[in-house]
Amino acid sequence: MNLREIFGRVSSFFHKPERDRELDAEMQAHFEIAIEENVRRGMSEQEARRQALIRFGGVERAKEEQRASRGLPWLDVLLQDLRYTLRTLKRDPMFSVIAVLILALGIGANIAVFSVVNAILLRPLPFHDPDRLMWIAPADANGLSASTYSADAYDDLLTMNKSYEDVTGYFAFSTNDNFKLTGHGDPKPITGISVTQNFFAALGVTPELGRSFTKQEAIKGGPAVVLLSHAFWVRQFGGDRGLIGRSITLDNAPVTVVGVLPETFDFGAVFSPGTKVDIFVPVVMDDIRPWGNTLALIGRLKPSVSVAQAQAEAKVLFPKFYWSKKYPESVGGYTARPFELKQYVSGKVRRSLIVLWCAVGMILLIVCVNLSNLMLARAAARNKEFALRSALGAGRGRLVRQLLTESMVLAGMGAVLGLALAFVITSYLAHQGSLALPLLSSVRVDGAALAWTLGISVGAAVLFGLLPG
Amino acid sequence: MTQTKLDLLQGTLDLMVLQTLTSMGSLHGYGIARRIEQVSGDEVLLNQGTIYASLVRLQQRNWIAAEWGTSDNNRKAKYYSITKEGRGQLAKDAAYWRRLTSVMGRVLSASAGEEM
Repeated sequence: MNLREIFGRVSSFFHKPERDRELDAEMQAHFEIAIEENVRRGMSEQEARRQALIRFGGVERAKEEQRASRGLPWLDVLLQDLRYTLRTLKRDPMFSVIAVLILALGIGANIAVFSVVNAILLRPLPFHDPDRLMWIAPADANGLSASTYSADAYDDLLTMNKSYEDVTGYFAFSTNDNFKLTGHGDPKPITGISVTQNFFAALGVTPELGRSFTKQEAIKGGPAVVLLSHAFWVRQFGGDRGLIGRSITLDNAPVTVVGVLPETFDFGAVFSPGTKVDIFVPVVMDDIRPWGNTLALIGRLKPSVSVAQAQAEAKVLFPKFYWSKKYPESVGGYTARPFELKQYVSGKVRRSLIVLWCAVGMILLIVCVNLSNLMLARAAARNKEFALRSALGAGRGRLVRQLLTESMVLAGMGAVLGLALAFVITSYLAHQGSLALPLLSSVRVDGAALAWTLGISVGAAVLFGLLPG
Repeated sequence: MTQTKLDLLQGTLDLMVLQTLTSMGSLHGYGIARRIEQVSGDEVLLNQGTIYASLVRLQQRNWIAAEWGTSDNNRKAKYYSITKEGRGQLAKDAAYWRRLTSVMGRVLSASAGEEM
Protein backbone atom coordinates (compact mmCIF):
# COMPACT_ATOMS: atom_id res chain seq x y z
CA MET A 1 0.00 0.00 0.00
CA ASN A 2 1.60 3.27 -1.01
CA LEU A 3 1.19 6.61 0.68
CA ARG A 4 -1.41 7.90 -1.75
CA GLU A 5 -3.60 4.88 -1.28
CA ILE A 6 -3.43 5.22 2.50
CA PHE A 7 -4.39 8.85 2.12
CA GLY A 8 -7.25 7.87 -0.18
CA ARG A 9 -8.49 5.26 2.28
CA VAL A 10 -8.36 7.64 5.24
CA SER A 11 -10.13 10.32 3.24
CA SER A 12 -12.83 7.83 2.20
CA PHE A 13 -13.21 6.83 5.83
CA PHE A 14 -14.10 10.39 6.76
CA HIS A 15 -16.40 11.02 3.78
CA LYS A 16 -18.63 7.96 3.94
CA PRO A 17 -22.01 9.55 3.12
CA GLU A 18 -20.67 11.39 0.06
CA ARG A 19 -18.83 8.35 -1.25
CA ASP A 20 -21.93 6.20 -0.68
CA ARG A 21 -24.16 8.67 -2.48
CA GLU A 22 -21.76 8.80 -5.38
CA LEU A 23 -21.61 5.00 -5.55
CA ASP A 24 -25.42 4.81 -5.49
CA ALA A 25 -25.64 7.28 -8.36
CA GLU A 26 -23.03 5.35 -10.28
CA MET A 27 -24.84 2.03 -9.81
CA GLN A 28 -28.14 3.68 -10.68
CA ALA A 29 -26.63 4.81 -13.98
CA HIS A 30 -25.23 1.31 -14.48
CA PHE A 31 -28.72 -0.22 -14.27
CA GLU A 32 -30.33 2.41 -16.49
CA ILE A 33 -27.75 1.94 -19.21
CA ALA A 34 -27.93 -1.85 -18.92
CA ILE A 35 -31.75 -1.94 -19.09
CA GLU A 36 -31.80 0.42 -22.03
CA GLU A 37 -29.35 -1.78 -23.90
CA ASN A 38 -31.34 -4.92 -23.11
CA VAL A 39 -34.57 -3.29 -24.33
CA ARG A 40 -32.84 -2.29 -27.55
CA ARG A 41 -31.90 -5.93 -28.02
CA GLY A 42 -35.60 -6.76 -27.95
CA MET A 43 -36.35 -7.71 -24.38
CA SER A 44 -39.48 -6.60 -22.59
CA GLU A 45 -38.96 -3.89 -19.96
CA GLN A 46 -39.42 -6.43 -17.17
CA GLU A 47 -37.06 -9.02 -18.65
CA ALA A 48 -34.47 -6.30 -19.34
CA ARG A 49 -34.48 -5.29 -15.68
CA ARG A 50 -34.29 -8.92 -14.53
CA GLN A 51 -31.30 -9.65 -16.76
CA ALA A 52 -29.52 -6.50 -15.66
CA LEU A 53 -29.95 -7.49 -12.00
CA ILE A 54 -28.71 -11.02 -12.66
CA ARG A 55 -25.61 -9.81 -14.46
CA PHE A 56 -24.87 -7.31 -11.74
CA GLY A 57 -24.89 -9.83 -8.89
CA GLY A 58 -25.66 -8.92 -5.26
CA VAL A 59 -26.07 -5.15 -4.98
CA GLU A 60 -25.37 -4.93 -1.26
CA ARG A 61 -22.43 -7.25 -1.59
CA ALA A 62 -20.97 -5.13 -4.37
CA LYS A 63 -21.38 -2.05 -2.19
CA GLU A 64 -19.71 -3.75 0.76
CA GLU A 65 -16.81 -4.81 -1.43
CA GLN A 66 -16.43 -1.32 -2.77
CA ARG A 67 -16.47 0.15 0.76
CA ALA A 68 -13.90 -2.38 1.92
CA SER A 69 -11.52 -1.58 -0.89
CA ARG A 70 -11.82 2.19 -0.62
CA GLY A 71 -11.85 2.73 3.18
CA LEU A 72 -10.58 1.28 6.46
CA PRO A 73 -12.78 -1.78 7.07
CA TRP A 74 -11.03 -2.84 10.30
CA LEU A 75 -11.60 0.60 11.77
CA ASP A 76 -15.26 0.49 10.75
CA VAL A 77 -15.65 -2.80 12.53
CA LEU A 78 -13.86 -1.47 15.59
CA LEU A 79 -16.07 1.62 15.79
CA GLN A 80 -19.14 -0.52 15.32
CA ASP A 81 -18.02 -2.80 18.16
CA LEU A 82 -17.22 0.18 20.37
CA ARG A 83 -20.61 1.75 19.85
CA TYR A 84 -22.28 -1.55 20.55
CA THR A 85 -20.14 -2.09 23.64
CA LEU A 86 -21.02 1.29 25.08
CA ARG A 87 -24.71 0.58 24.53
CA THR A 88 -24.38 -2.82 26.22
CA LEU A 89 -22.52 -1.36 29.19
CA LYS A 90 -25.05 1.42 29.56
CA ARG A 91 -27.86 -1.11 29.64
CA ASP A 92 -26.27 -2.79 32.69
CA PRO A 93 -24.79 0.12 34.66
CA MET A 94 -24.30 -1.77 37.94
CA PHE A 95 -22.16 -4.37 36.27
CA SER A 96 -20.16 -1.73 34.41
CA VAL A 97 -19.48 0.42 37.46
CA ILE A 98 -18.43 -2.51 39.62
CA ALA A 99 -16.24 -3.97 36.92
CA VAL A 100 -14.48 -0.65 36.28
CA LEU A 101 -14.02 0.04 40.00
CA ILE A 102 -12.45 -3.28 40.92
CA LEU A 103 -10.28 -3.13 37.82
CA ALA A 104 -9.19 0.37 38.79
CA LEU A 105 -8.19 -0.84 42.25
CA GLY A 106 -6.26 -3.80 40.88
CA ILE A 107 -4.53 -1.86 38.15
CA GLY A 108 -3.91 1.21 40.34
CA ALA A 109 -2.20 -0.88 43.03
CA ASN A 110 -0.08 -2.50 40.36
CA ILE A 111 1.05 0.78 38.85
CA ALA A 112 1.84 2.30 42.24
CA VAL A 113 3.97 -0.66 43.31
CA PHE A 114 5.57 -0.81 39.89
CA SER A 115 6.53 2.86 40.18
CA VAL A 116 8.26 2.17 43.50
CA VAL A 117 9.96 -0.93 42.12
CA ASN A 118 11.00 1.02 39.07
CA ALA A 119 12.53 3.83 41.12
CA ILE A 120 14.36 1.56 43.55
CA LEU A 121 15.22 -1.58 41.63
CA LEU A 122 15.08 -0.83 37.93
CA ARG A 123 16.11 2.76 37.30
CA PRO A 124 19.86 3.50 37.47
CA LEU A 125 21.21 5.62 40.33
CA PRO A 126 21.18 9.36 39.63
CA PHE A 127 24.97 9.50 39.11
CA HIS A 128 27.26 9.54 36.13
CA ASP A 129 27.89 5.99 34.86
CA PRO A 130 26.42 4.43 38.03
CA ASP A 131 27.23 0.86 36.96
CA ARG A 132 30.90 1.45 37.72
CA LEU A 133 30.33 2.55 41.31
CA MET A 134 31.20 0.02 44.01
CA TRP A 135 30.22 -0.11 47.64
CA ILE A 136 33.32 -1.21 49.54
CA ALA A 137 32.55 -3.15 52.69
CA PRO A 138 33.44 -6.47 54.35
CA ALA A 139 31.57 -9.48 53.03
CA ASP A 140 29.67 -10.00 56.27
CA ALA A 141 29.03 -6.30 56.91
CA ASN A 142 25.92 -5.75 58.86
CA GLY A 143 25.29 -2.25 60.07
CA LEU A 144 27.45 0.77 59.39
CA SER A 145 30.05 0.38 62.16
CA ALA A 146 31.08 -2.96 60.68
CA SER A 147 31.36 -1.56 57.17
CA THR A 148 33.51 1.51 57.76
CA TYR A 149 37.26 2.01 57.54
CA SER A 150 39.82 4.23 59.21
CA ALA A 151 41.45 7.27 57.61
CA ASP A 152 44.77 5.41 57.41
CA ALA A 153 43.13 2.50 55.63
CA TYR A 154 41.49 4.91 53.20
CA ASP A 155 44.79 6.62 52.40
CA ASP A 156 46.47 3.28 51.78
CA LEU A 157 43.61 2.06 49.59
CA LEU A 158 43.80 5.24 47.55
CA THR A 159 47.53 4.84 46.87
CA MET A 160 47.83 1.06 46.60
CA ASN A 161 44.77 -0.06 44.60
CA LYS A 162 44.90 -0.82 40.88
CA SER A 163 41.15 -1.32 40.32
CA TYR A 164 39.65 2.11 40.87
CA GLU A 165 39.73 5.38 39.02
CA ASP A 166 38.91 7.03 42.30
CA VAL A 167 37.92 6.05 45.81
CA THR A 168 35.80 8.31 47.93
CA GLY A 169 33.96 8.16 51.20
CA TYR A 170 31.80 9.95 53.68
CA PHE A 171 31.81 10.26 57.44
CA ALA A 172 29.25 7.62 58.36
CA PHE A 173 28.36 8.70 61.86
CA SER A 174 26.77 12.11 61.40
CA THR A 175 23.55 12.64 63.26
CA ASN A 176 20.59 14.74 62.26
CA ASP A 177 20.75 18.45 63.12
CA ASN A 178 24.48 18.28 63.86
CA PHE A 179 25.17 21.87 62.76
CA LYS A 180 23.76 25.16 63.99
CA LEU A 181 23.10 27.93 61.51
CA THR A 182 23.04 31.46 62.95
CA GLY A 183 22.82 34.94 61.48
CA HIS A 184 19.54 34.27 59.69
CA GLY A 185 16.92 34.90 62.32
CA ASP A 186 16.69 32.31 65.07
CA PRO A 187 19.52 29.79 65.36
CA LYS A 188 18.51 26.82 63.28
CA PRO A 189 19.63 23.20 63.51
CA ILE A 190 20.65 21.75 60.15
CA THR A 191 22.02 18.41 59.00
CA GLY A 192 25.44 18.15 57.43
CA ILE A 193 27.57 15.32 56.14
CA SER A 194 31.36 15.33 55.92
CA VAL A 195 32.58 13.87 52.66
CA THR A 196 36.07 13.32 51.30
CA GLN A 197 37.33 16.12 49.10
CA ASN A 198 36.82 14.11 45.85
CA PHE A 199 33.31 12.87 46.73
CA PHE A 200 31.31 14.70 44.07
CA ALA A 201 33.91 14.26 41.36
CA ALA A 202 34.04 10.51 42.00
CA LEU A 203 30.26 10.15 41.82
CA GLY A 204 30.16 12.33 38.75
CA VAL A 205 28.02 15.05 40.32
CA THR A 206 28.80 18.59 39.15
CA PRO A 207 27.62 21.46 41.37
CA GLU A 208 24.78 23.43 39.84
CA LEU A 209 26.48 26.65 40.97
CA GLY A 210 30.05 27.31 42.07
CA ARG A 211 32.50 24.45 42.49
CA SER A 212 33.33 21.39 44.53
CA PHE A 213 36.00 21.20 47.29
CA THR A 214 39.70 21.74 46.61
CA LYS A 215 42.60 19.80 48.16
CA GLN A 216 43.55 22.78 50.35
CA GLU A 217 40.11 22.81 51.90
CA ALA A 218 40.55 19.22 53.12
CA ILE A 219 43.76 19.77 55.11
CA LYS A 220 43.87 20.74 58.74
CA GLY A 221 43.79 24.51 59.06
CA GLY A 222 42.59 25.00 55.49
CA PRO A 223 39.79 27.43 54.59
CA ALA A 224 36.38 26.50 55.99
CA VAL A 225 33.95 25.89 53.14
CA VAL A 226 30.52 24.37 52.60
CA LEU A 227 28.38 23.10 49.72
CA LEU A 228 24.61 23.44 49.98
CA SER A 229 21.97 21.00 48.82
CA HIS A 230 19.60 22.47 46.26
CA ALA A 231 16.56 22.09 48.52
CA PHE A 232 18.28 23.80 51.46
CA TRP A 233 19.58 26.64 49.26
CA VAL A 234 16.06 27.34 48.02
CA ARG A 235 14.40 26.90 51.41
CA GLN A 236 16.86 28.91 53.49
CA PHE A 237 18.29 31.42 51.05
CA GLY A 238 15.49 31.75 48.52
CA GLY A 239 17.73 30.46 45.76
CA ASP A 240 20.02 33.51 45.95
CA ARG A 241 22.71 33.14 43.28
CA GLY A 242 24.82 35.82 44.93
CA LEU A 243 25.42 33.56 47.92
CA ILE A 244 28.33 31.77 46.26
CA GLY A 245 31.62 33.06 47.70
CA ARG A 246 29.93 34.72 50.68
CA SER A 247 30.15 33.29 54.16
CA ILE A 248 27.49 31.98 56.51
CA THR A 249 27.81 31.22 60.19
CA LEU A 250 27.88 27.58 61.19
CA ASP A 251 28.47 26.62 64.84
CA ASN A 252 29.51 30.24 65.48
CA ALA A 253 32.27 30.26 62.86
CA PRO A 254 32.24 31.82 59.40
CA VAL A 255 32.19 29.31 56.55
CA THR A 256 32.37 30.19 52.85
CA VAL A 257 29.67 28.83 50.54
CA VAL A 258 31.54 27.51 47.48
CA GLY A 259 28.68 25.92 45.61
CA VAL A 260 25.19 24.51 45.35
CA LEU A 261 24.52 20.91 44.34
CA PRO A 262 22.06 20.04 41.57
CA GLU A 263 18.44 19.28 42.42
CA THR A 264 18.85 15.70 41.23
CA PHE A 265 21.47 14.93 43.86
CA ASP A 266 19.81 13.66 47.01
CA PHE A 267 22.35 12.16 49.40
CA GLY A 268 19.79 10.89 51.87
CA ALA A 269 17.73 9.14 49.21
CA VAL A 270 20.69 7.01 48.16
CA PHE A 271 22.86 6.53 51.23
CA SER A 272 20.65 7.05 54.21
CA PRO A 273 16.95 6.76 53.45
CA GLY A 274 14.70 8.98 55.47
CA THR A 275 17.17 11.78 56.13
CA LYS A 276 17.40 15.16 54.48
CA VAL A 277 20.95 16.43 54.20
CA ASP A 278 21.27 20.22 54.03
CA ILE A 279 25.00 20.86 53.74
CA PHE A 280 28.23 19.10 52.86
CA VAL A 281 31.65 19.89 54.34
CA PRO A 282 35.00 18.36 53.47
CA VAL A 283 36.40 15.69 55.78
CA VAL A 284 39.73 16.76 57.25
CA MET A 285 41.60 13.45 57.37
CA ASP A 286 43.92 14.42 60.19
CA ASP A 287 40.92 15.26 62.37
CA ILE A 288 39.31 11.87 62.05
CA ARG A 289 42.54 9.83 62.01
CA PRO A 290 42.44 9.06 65.75
CA TRP A 291 38.73 8.18 65.68
CA GLY A 292 39.06 4.76 64.08
CA ASN A 293 36.57 3.34 61.60
CA THR A 294 34.47 6.26 60.47
CA LEU A 295 34.50 6.29 56.65
CA ALA A 296 32.04 4.51 54.41
CA LEU A 297 33.80 3.89 51.10
CA ILE A 298 32.69 4.05 47.48
CA GLY A 299 34.97 3.34 44.53
CA ARG A 300 34.61 4.00 40.83
CA LEU A 301 36.00 1.07 38.83
CA LYS A 302 38.37 1.66 35.95
CA PRO A 303 36.66 0.85 32.63
CA SER A 304 38.79 -2.27 32.09
CA VAL A 305 38.31 -3.73 35.56
CA SER A 306 35.52 -6.18 36.33
CA VAL A 307 33.73 -6.59 39.64
CA ALA A 308 35.36 -9.99 40.14
CA GLN A 309 38.82 -8.49 39.58
CA ALA A 310 38.14 -5.76 42.12
CA GLN A 311 36.97 -8.37 44.62
CA ALA A 312 40.06 -10.48 44.04
CA GLU A 313 42.28 -7.47 44.56
CA ALA A 314 40.44 -6.48 47.73
CA LYS A 315 41.02 -9.93 49.19
CA VAL A 316 44.80 -9.51 49.15
CA LEU A 317 44.96 -5.75 49.58
CA PHE A 318 42.74 -5.02 52.58
CA PRO A 319 44.61 -7.22 55.13
CA LYS A 320 47.65 -4.96 54.56
CA PHE A 321 45.84 -1.89 55.93
CA TYR A 322 46.30 -0.41 59.42
CA TRP A 323 43.55 0.61 61.78
CA SER A 324 46.06 3.26 62.79
CA LYS A 325 49.67 3.52 61.74
CA LYS A 326 50.54 4.67 65.24
CA TYR A 327 49.96 1.10 66.33
CA PRO A 328 51.89 -1.23 64.00
CA GLU A 329 50.17 -4.23 65.54
CA SER A 330 46.79 -2.92 64.27
CA VAL A 331 47.55 -4.19 60.76
CA GLY A 332 45.53 -7.02 59.27
CA GLY A 333 42.13 -6.35 60.77
CA TYR A 334 40.40 -5.45 57.51
CA THR A 335 38.67 -7.40 54.77
CA ALA A 336 36.47 -6.17 51.94
CA ARG A 337 34.24 -7.53 49.23
CA PRO A 338 33.19 -4.65 46.97
CA PHE A 339 29.87 -4.93 45.10
CA GLU A 340 27.67 -2.66 43.01
CA LEU A 341 26.45 0.43 44.79
CA LYS A 342 23.02 -0.01 43.23
CA GLN A 343 22.77 -3.40 44.87
CA TYR A 344 23.76 -1.91 48.20
CA VAL A 345 21.13 0.80 47.91
CA SER A 346 18.28 -1.47 46.87
CA GLY A 347 19.54 -4.61 48.57
CA LYS A 348 17.86 -4.15 51.90
CA VAL A 349 14.40 -3.68 50.46
CA ARG A 350 14.79 -5.80 47.35
CA ARG A 351 13.16 -8.92 48.72
CA SER A 352 10.21 -7.16 50.36
CA LEU A 353 9.58 -5.14 47.22
CA ILE A 354 9.53 -8.21 45.03
CA VAL A 355 7.14 -9.89 47.44
CA LEU A 356 4.94 -6.81 47.35
CA TRP A 357 5.10 -6.76 43.57
CA CYS A 358 4.00 -10.39 43.40
CA ALA A 359 1.25 -9.68 45.92
CA VAL A 360 -0.32 -6.92 43.84
CA GLY A 361 0.06 -9.12 40.79
CA MET A 362 -1.95 -11.79 42.60
CA ILE A 363 -4.55 -9.20 43.51
CA LEU A 364 -4.94 -8.32 39.85
CA LEU A 365 -5.24 -12.00 39.02
CA ILE A 366 -8.00 -12.35 41.60
CA VAL A 367 -9.71 -9.30 40.13
CA CYS A 368 -9.56 -10.93 36.72
CA VAL A 369 -10.99 -14.19 38.01
CA ASN A 370 -13.83 -12.33 39.67
CA LEU A 371 -14.55 -10.36 36.54
CA SER A 372 -14.46 -13.58 34.57
CA ASN A 373 -17.18 -14.89 36.82
CA LEU A 374 -19.26 -11.79 36.27
CA MET A 375 -18.76 -12.07 32.54
CA LEU A 376 -19.68 -15.74 32.66
CA ALA A 377 -22.92 -14.95 34.42
CA ARG A 378 -23.61 -12.34 31.77
CA ALA A 379 -22.67 -14.66 28.95
CA ALA A 380 -25.38 -17.06 30.08
CA ALA A 381 -27.87 -14.22 29.90
CA ARG A 382 -26.57 -13.18 26.47
CA ASN A 383 -26.80 -16.61 24.89
CA LYS A 384 -29.75 -15.57 22.79
CA GLU A 385 -27.96 -12.51 21.52
CA PHE A 386 -25.00 -14.55 20.32
CA ALA A 387 -27.27 -17.15 18.76
CA LEU A 388 -29.00 -14.38 16.85
CA ARG A 389 -25.75 -12.80 15.76
CA SER A 390 -24.32 -16.04 14.46
CA ALA A 391 -27.62 -16.83 12.72
CA LEU A 392 -27.26 -13.46 10.96
CA GLY A 393 -23.85 -14.54 9.69
CA ALA A 394 -21.34 -13.43 12.32
CA GLY A 395 -18.42 -15.87 12.35
CA ARG A 396 -16.81 -17.16 15.50
CA GLY A 397 -13.88 -14.78 15.07
CA ARG A 398 -16.25 -11.85 14.75
CA LEU A 399 -18.03 -12.78 18.01
CA VAL A 400 -14.71 -13.20 19.84
CA ARG A 401 -13.63 -9.83 18.53
CA GLN A 402 -16.82 -8.27 19.85
CA LEU A 403 -16.27 -9.82 23.30
CA LEU A 404 -12.65 -8.73 23.30
CA THR A 405 -13.62 -5.18 22.43
CA GLU A 406 -16.01 -5.17 25.38
CA SER A 407 -13.38 -6.35 27.84
CA MET A 408 -10.82 -3.93 26.35
CA VAL A 409 -13.20 -1.05 26.93
CA LEU A 410 -13.76 -2.13 30.52
CA ALA A 411 -10.04 -2.63 31.11
CA GLY A 412 -9.29 0.70 29.43
CA MET A 413 -11.67 2.57 31.71
CA GLY A 414 -10.27 0.68 34.69
CA ALA A 415 -6.74 1.58 33.61
CA VAL A 416 -7.52 5.29 33.31
CA LEU A 417 -9.08 5.33 36.75
CA GLY A 418 -6.29 3.15 38.13
CA LEU A 419 -3.70 5.48 36.68
CA ALA A 420 -5.32 8.41 38.47
CA LEU A 421 -5.30 6.38 41.67
CA ALA A 422 -1.64 5.44 41.22
CA PHE A 423 -0.79 9.06 40.55
CA VAL A 424 -2.30 10.09 43.87
CA ILE A 425 -0.58 7.25 45.74
CA THR A 426 2.87 7.88 44.24
CA SER A 427 2.83 11.61 44.75
CA TYR A 428 1.79 10.95 48.35
CA LEU A 429 4.62 8.43 48.77
CA ALA A 430 7.20 10.69 47.15
CA HIS A 431 6.52 13.35 49.78
CA GLN A 432 6.70 10.92 52.69
CA GLY A 433 10.12 11.94 54.07
CA SER A 434 9.68 9.76 57.13
CA LEU A 435 9.47 6.52 55.16
CA ALA A 436 12.92 4.98 55.15
CA LEU A 437 12.86 3.80 51.52
CA PRO A 438 15.81 4.72 49.30
CA LEU A 439 15.22 6.97 46.27
CA LEU A 440 11.64 7.52 47.42
CA SER A 441 11.46 11.11 46.29
CA SER A 442 12.08 10.00 42.72
CA VAL A 443 9.04 7.72 42.76
CA ARG A 444 6.62 8.87 40.10
CA VAL A 445 4.36 7.58 37.36
CA ASP A 446 6.55 7.79 34.28
CA GLY A 447 6.73 6.36 30.77
CA ALA A 448 7.82 2.97 32.04
CA ALA A 449 4.87 2.90 34.41
CA LEU A 450 2.54 3.84 31.56
CA ALA A 451 3.90 1.01 29.45
CA TRP A 452 3.41 -1.30 32.40
CA THR A 453 -0.18 -0.10 32.72
CA LEU A 454 -0.85 -0.76 29.07
CA GLY A 455 0.64 -4.23 29.38
CA ILE A 456 -1.30 -5.32 32.43
CA SER A 457 -4.58 -3.79 31.21
CA VAL A 458 -4.40 -5.62 27.90
CA GLY A 459 -3.35 -8.77 29.72
CA ALA A 460 -6.23 -8.42 32.16
CA ALA A 461 -8.71 -7.74 29.35
CA VAL A 462 -7.68 -10.84 27.44
CA LEU A 463 -7.73 -12.86 30.63
CA PHE A 464 -11.19 -11.93 31.83
CA GLY A 465 -12.68 -11.38 28.40
CA LEU A 466 -11.77 -14.62 26.73
CA LEU A 467 -11.53 -17.00 29.65
CA PRO A 468 -15.30 -17.36 30.05
CA GLY A 469 -15.83 -17.89 26.30
CA MET B 1 -20.50 -24.08 -23.56
CA THR B 2 -20.78 -26.88 -21.02
CA GLN B 3 -17.62 -25.89 -19.16
CA THR B 4 -18.08 -23.84 -15.97
CA LYS B 5 -16.86 -20.26 -16.13
CA LEU B 6 -13.39 -19.31 -14.83
CA ASP B 7 -13.07 -17.83 -11.37
CA LEU B 8 -11.02 -14.65 -11.47
CA LEU B 9 -7.67 -14.87 -9.71
CA GLN B 10 -6.73 -12.21 -7.19
CA GLY B 11 -5.59 -9.10 -9.00
CA THR B 12 -6.59 -10.18 -12.48
CA LEU B 13 -9.68 -7.98 -12.57
CA ASP B 14 -7.59 -4.87 -11.91
CA LEU B 15 -5.35 -5.81 -14.81
CA MET B 16 -8.33 -6.39 -17.11
CA VAL B 17 -9.78 -3.01 -16.20
CA LEU B 18 -6.49 -1.25 -16.95
CA GLN B 19 -6.17 -3.06 -20.28
CA THR B 20 -9.78 -2.29 -21.23
CA LEU B 21 -9.32 1.41 -20.51
CA THR B 22 -6.10 1.45 -22.54
CA SER B 23 -7.75 0.00 -25.60
CA MET B 24 -11.15 1.73 -25.28
CA GLY B 25 -10.25 5.13 -23.85
CA SER B 26 -12.82 6.66 -21.51
CA LEU B 27 -15.58 4.29 -20.36
CA HIS B 28 -18.20 3.97 -17.61
CA GLY B 29 -18.46 1.05 -15.16
CA TYR B 30 -21.08 -0.86 -17.12
CA GLY B 31 -19.14 -0.38 -20.34
CA ILE B 32 -15.96 -1.75 -18.77
CA ALA B 33 -17.80 -4.78 -17.38
CA ARG B 34 -19.50 -5.50 -20.74
CA ARG B 35 -16.25 -5.11 -22.63
CA ILE B 36 -14.45 -7.58 -20.35
CA GLU B 37 -17.29 -10.06 -20.74
CA GLN B 38 -17.20 -9.72 -24.52
CA VAL B 39 -13.42 -9.89 -24.92
CA SER B 40 -13.20 -12.95 -22.69
CA GLY B 41 -15.87 -14.61 -24.74
CA ASP B 42 -18.10 -14.84 -21.68
CA GLU B 43 -15.65 -17.28 -20.15
CA VAL B 44 -14.98 -15.43 -16.89
CA LEU B 45 -17.38 -15.47 -14.01
CA LEU B 46 -17.90 -11.77 -13.44
CA ASN B 47 -20.64 -10.26 -11.37
CA GLN B 48 -20.70 -6.80 -12.90
CA GLY B 49 -21.07 -5.23 -9.44
CA THR B 50 -17.62 -6.37 -8.37
CA ILE B 51 -16.09 -4.01 -10.91
CA TYR B 52 -16.74 -1.07 -8.59
CA ALA B 53 -14.43 -2.35 -5.84
CA SER B 54 -11.71 -2.64 -8.44
CA LEU B 55 -12.44 0.81 -9.89
CA VAL B 56 -12.25 2.62 -6.57
CA ARG B 57 -9.04 0.81 -5.66
CA LEU B 58 -7.38 1.73 -8.95
CA GLN B 59 -8.60 5.28 -8.63
CA GLN B 60 -7.13 5.68 -5.13
CA ARG B 61 -3.84 4.35 -6.40
CA ASN B 62 -4.04 7.04 -9.07
CA TRP B 63 -3.81 4.51 -11.87
CA ILE B 64 -7.14 5.60 -13.35
CA ALA B 65 -9.02 8.92 -13.22
CA ALA B 66 -12.80 9.38 -12.97
CA GLU B 67 -15.10 12.13 -14.17
CA TRP B 68 -18.88 12.48 -14.41
CA GLY B 69 -20.02 12.82 -18.00
CA THR B 70 -22.99 12.24 -20.27
CA SER B 71 -23.56 9.09 -22.31
CA ASP B 72 -24.68 8.89 -25.97
CA ASN B 73 -28.28 8.58 -24.78
CA ASN B 74 -27.95 11.60 -22.56
CA ARG B 75 -27.50 9.72 -19.30
CA LYS B 76 -25.19 10.96 -16.56
CA ALA B 77 -22.49 8.36 -15.77
CA LYS B 78 -19.05 8.26 -14.24
CA TYR B 79 -16.39 7.83 -16.88
CA TYR B 80 -13.01 6.32 -16.18
CA SER B 81 -9.77 6.73 -18.10
CA ILE B 82 -6.28 5.39 -17.53
CA THR B 83 -3.53 7.71 -16.22
CA LYS B 84 0.13 7.80 -17.12
CA GLU B 85 0.97 5.96 -13.91
CA GLY B 86 -1.71 3.42 -14.77
CA ARG B 87 -0.08 2.73 -18.13
CA GLY B 88 3.24 2.11 -16.39
CA GLN B 89 1.59 -0.26 -13.94
CA LEU B 90 -0.22 -2.06 -16.74
CA ALA B 91 3.05 -2.64 -18.61
CA LYS B 92 4.63 -4.06 -15.47
CA ASP B 93 1.68 -6.29 -14.53
CA ALA B 94 1.14 -7.51 -18.08
CA ALA B 95 4.79 -8.51 -18.37
CA TYR B 96 4.48 -10.36 -15.09
CA TRP B 97 1.39 -12.26 -16.23
CA ARG B 98 2.98 -13.19 -19.54
CA ARG B 99 5.99 -14.60 -17.73
CA LEU B 100 3.82 -16.44 -15.25
CA THR B 101 1.57 -17.97 -17.90
CA SER B 102 4.49 -19.01 -20.07
CA VAL B 103 6.21 -20.63 -17.11
CA MET B 104 3.00 -22.36 -16.06
CA GLY B 105 2.50 -23.54 -19.62
CA ARG B 106 6.03 -24.94 -19.78
CA VAL B 107 5.71 -26.68 -16.43
CA LEU B 108 2.36 -28.21 -17.24
CA SER B 109 3.42 -29.46 -20.67
CA ALA B 110 6.85 -30.68 -19.50
CA SER B 111 5.42 -33.51 -17.41
CA ALA B 112 3.71 -34.95 -20.47
CA GLY B 113 6.30 -34.33 -23.22
CA GLU B 114 9.70 -34.66 -21.62
CA GLU B 115 9.45 -37.63 -19.36
CA MET B 116 12.81 -39.30 -18.76
